Amino acid sequence: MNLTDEIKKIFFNNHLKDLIEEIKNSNIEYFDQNTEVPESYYISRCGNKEVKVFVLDDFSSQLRVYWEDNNELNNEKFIESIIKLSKELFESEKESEEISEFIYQMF
Amino acid sequence: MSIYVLGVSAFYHDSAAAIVKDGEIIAAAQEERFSRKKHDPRFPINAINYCLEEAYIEPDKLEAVVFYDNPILTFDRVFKTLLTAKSNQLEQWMRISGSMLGVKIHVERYIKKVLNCDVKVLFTEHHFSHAASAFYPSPFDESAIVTLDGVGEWATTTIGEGNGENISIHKEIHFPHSLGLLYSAFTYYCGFKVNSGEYKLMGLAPYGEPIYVDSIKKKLIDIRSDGSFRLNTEYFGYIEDNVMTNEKFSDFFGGKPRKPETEITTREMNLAASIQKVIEESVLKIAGHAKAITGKGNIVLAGGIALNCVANGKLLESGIFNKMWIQPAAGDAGGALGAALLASYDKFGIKRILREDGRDMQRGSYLGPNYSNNEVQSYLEKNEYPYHNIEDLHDRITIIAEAISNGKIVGYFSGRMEYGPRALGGRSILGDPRNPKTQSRMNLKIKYRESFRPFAPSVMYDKVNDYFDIEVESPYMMFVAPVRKRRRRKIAKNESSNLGNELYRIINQRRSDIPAVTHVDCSARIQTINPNDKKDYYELISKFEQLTGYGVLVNTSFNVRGEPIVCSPHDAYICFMRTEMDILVLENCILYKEDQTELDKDNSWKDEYELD
Amino acid sequence: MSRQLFKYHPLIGYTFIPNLKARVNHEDGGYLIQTNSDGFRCKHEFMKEKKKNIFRILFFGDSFTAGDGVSNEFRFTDLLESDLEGTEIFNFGLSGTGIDQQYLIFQEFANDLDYDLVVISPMLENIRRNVVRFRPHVSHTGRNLFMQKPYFEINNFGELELNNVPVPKKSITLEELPKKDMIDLYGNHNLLRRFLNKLGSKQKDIVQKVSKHEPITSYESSDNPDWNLMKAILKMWISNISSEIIICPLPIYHYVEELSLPNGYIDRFNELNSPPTVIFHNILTDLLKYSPNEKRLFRFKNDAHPTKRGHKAYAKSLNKLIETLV
Repeated sequence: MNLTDEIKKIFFNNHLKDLIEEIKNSNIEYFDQNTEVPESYYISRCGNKEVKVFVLDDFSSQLRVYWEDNNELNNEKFIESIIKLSKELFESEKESEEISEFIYQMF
Repeated sequence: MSIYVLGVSAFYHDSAAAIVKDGEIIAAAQEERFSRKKHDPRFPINAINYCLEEAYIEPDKLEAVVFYDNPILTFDRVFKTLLTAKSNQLEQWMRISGSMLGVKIHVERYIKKVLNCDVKVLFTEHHFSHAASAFYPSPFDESAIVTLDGVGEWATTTIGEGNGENISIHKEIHFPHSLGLLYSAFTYYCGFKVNSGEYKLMGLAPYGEPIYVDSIKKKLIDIRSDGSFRLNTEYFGYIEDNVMTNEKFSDFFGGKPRKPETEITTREMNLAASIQKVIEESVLKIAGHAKAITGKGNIVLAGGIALNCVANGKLLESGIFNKMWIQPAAGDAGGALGAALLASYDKFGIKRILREDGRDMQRGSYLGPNYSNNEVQSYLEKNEYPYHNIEDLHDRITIIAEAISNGKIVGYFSGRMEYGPRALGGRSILGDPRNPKTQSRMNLKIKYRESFRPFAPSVMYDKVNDYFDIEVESPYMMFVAPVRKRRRRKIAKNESSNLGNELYRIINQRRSDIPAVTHVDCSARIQTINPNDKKDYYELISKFEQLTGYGVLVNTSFNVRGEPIVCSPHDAYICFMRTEMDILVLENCILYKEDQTELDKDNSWKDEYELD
Repeated sequence: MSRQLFKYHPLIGYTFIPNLKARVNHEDGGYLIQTNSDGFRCKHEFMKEKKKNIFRILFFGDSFTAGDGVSNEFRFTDLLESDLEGTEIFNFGLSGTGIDQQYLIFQEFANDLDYDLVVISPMLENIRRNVVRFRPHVSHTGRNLFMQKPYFEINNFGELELNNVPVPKKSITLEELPKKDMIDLYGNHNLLRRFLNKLGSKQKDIVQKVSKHEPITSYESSDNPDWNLMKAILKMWISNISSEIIICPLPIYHYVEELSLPNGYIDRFNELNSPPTVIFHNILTDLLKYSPNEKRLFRFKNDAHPTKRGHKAYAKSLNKLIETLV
């Protein structure tokens, strides 16, 4: 395992393992798993009033704002550690040119 | 002072760049064409370079660079998927953390580094990019907008509308519920490559019977009357794992996924037919709901599902809308164009001006680089490749048309390169549609593949009704329509219950008097040519008609299997020499295979460019 | 990946492709190229006759003059034209050429033109290009090749003889070279140079500063055969020019940033100095007046070609002289 992989693994063990367990034991649902069958599965947007093209300030403040607005993952320490990780990974990660044959390219 | 906006899509698949000046599309191109790496997901340095070249401006003249996706929201979706996965979380984390946190959220730094200037960087949302790419280049002042893909940030499906300069999204469906992911799941299960083989599944559908439609709708997807839907994620692997389907899916359909390159069985054909029907039903219902909530007479479409031209044909036929327009670069590449257009009209206040002739603003989708005759001749002379310079267009067209009518296969490199996955006469390989051998020859000797799919026809727009049952122009090959009944020939139905490798024999049967472009169900994926979009190509087909009585040509993309469509004269020459094409046309220059010296024996490219 | 920029020419070896508009990816973000119908990076067509009230200047040189790394409008020739009212500048710069080819360009494209001043601005390293038969280049598909070039030799009668014309078209690989000394091996430290290039520009600069290595020894003595050949070509060229001439050799960055002492080139070019007809302009004198930080920004981080700032500095230096002649 190289150094970068080590960093990722350490982060997982220090920050994500417990968080995953916490979420598992809670009633938090990020995907709509509602078993009721509504008339429509559409989610409404606010239509015309939206700002469609915008500036994004740095990742940390934007993520913080987004999670705060949605009252989610509201842990300052956690956000700071993710930001620190992203800075470290920026130095070491390179773009991949590979496209998976097995799973849709969505992350 | 002109307002230049550069749009960029990157990091997932089909990276691209597009540049717009005062709302007018100047250039757009996919990175893969320059890098020669199919579906290249990397930051599109070369496509950006080309866009600035075509606009002929320095980067500091850009008003803004707009990225087609909101990386914050995408990270949110990816991260939450990880948090709620039931297993393999560490494995997932190892996979996603590097690409998301190390690359994708730093897009602004990439942009500024490549351009080396402090340009304003803006962002939009993925489906807004798609919506903009569908609406703004269309000929409509107002329209319903439907976008359907695998997933953007969270949205996978949207319904909205466009009015003048303004677009808005009213309804969405969110991940993990996605028609694109559903279709990719079946693509994977039927043994084709995800992210690139989806169109093969569409081509396989006519061979099968839709016997699984009911079970798919019962267990895998619940479709409401308004077109909204929900997937039963228990059957899919893409949330927890690194493949599209899981064991439950396999058990449901009676076996493991088909291994790639193995025999295609009746099961796959029937699955293809079934999922095609499900997609068509969804698209029609979603479109119906779009009509209901927007009240518009026109509809525009984008997103990867909009590349399903069979479904598009069904929607056209349904008459739900009076008019339809589909972004030719409907996948992620089109997001670059959409982002640039959206910023131009929505943020920078450019006034949208429609064409007086009622045609669209995509200009035939010939938005990529062209190469002057000087450049072509410089390349050929430097390498001492023999050629004939035929400056007169009419003389050149006559030579080419005659050659095709005599059964020759011609590589046609002319004008600007196409934007989007289809070759439209800018970078095309052309053949005679009447000849039953054209199809097998093109497959085996040019593309080096066996294929169960026919090639596509290019037909003069004013003659399309002579050949196909379609009432509208189809300049971007986005509609499938039936071949005219009077042109069809009866073939004895194959009684075999398992067609297996029979597919390749069946596709070569003469189903019409234009067999090379007729599918097993007598449909064709049509391109109509209008001289306003591409005069030389129109005149070529017209000349072919004069010689043969047929105003149709076989048009397949100018590339060998697995390779991106050619971009430069060099790409075209190498492809020409690696295949059994007879003639190469590079602008004014015509090259004959028998005059060329064989290239050094090097078959390593066959490993590089795998079957897809 | 990028467009092909050059086309074959039987006398020169190559020129730019005519009527080209292209953008070249570069460490500095990229630059725009535009060529005229003769295949030079010049906004003017090379019309024989000039307007009466126009002072026409012809510039010759290699990639430093042609402007590798910067768009046309940021080159010192274009800046001069903007600053000097009433001038029209024809840029005949061609990347990768030696004085030999630059002279042939004059013969082929400029000899019949009306002009008021000729500026010969070879980069100092060009002296080595005159003695080789092949020059390295990277094809637009990324292959390392060597292309043939015309070359002069001084025969037994002391006359210049042109060889290898028409220039053969085919580029070859290193393995196919008939003899290794037909290319520039960059002195005896080729391996070291390549090693240092791999380390990066910062490390390379440090080694250069400490060692004070002299990159070009061809100007050390007036008996040096490289100099004799170059001088002979320049003298022949001068004799064919019907106007005033400025010889303005462009110094390598080692001299500008004082990483090495300029060894002899000033003396050598002074041998040709013959005002008012032939003026040797030592641009280094003006460049040395800038601060070390400013001078470092005259070239790119990795690419030794002049940046926009470098071109501005060249233009400022030449402006003073040319103004007196206009």
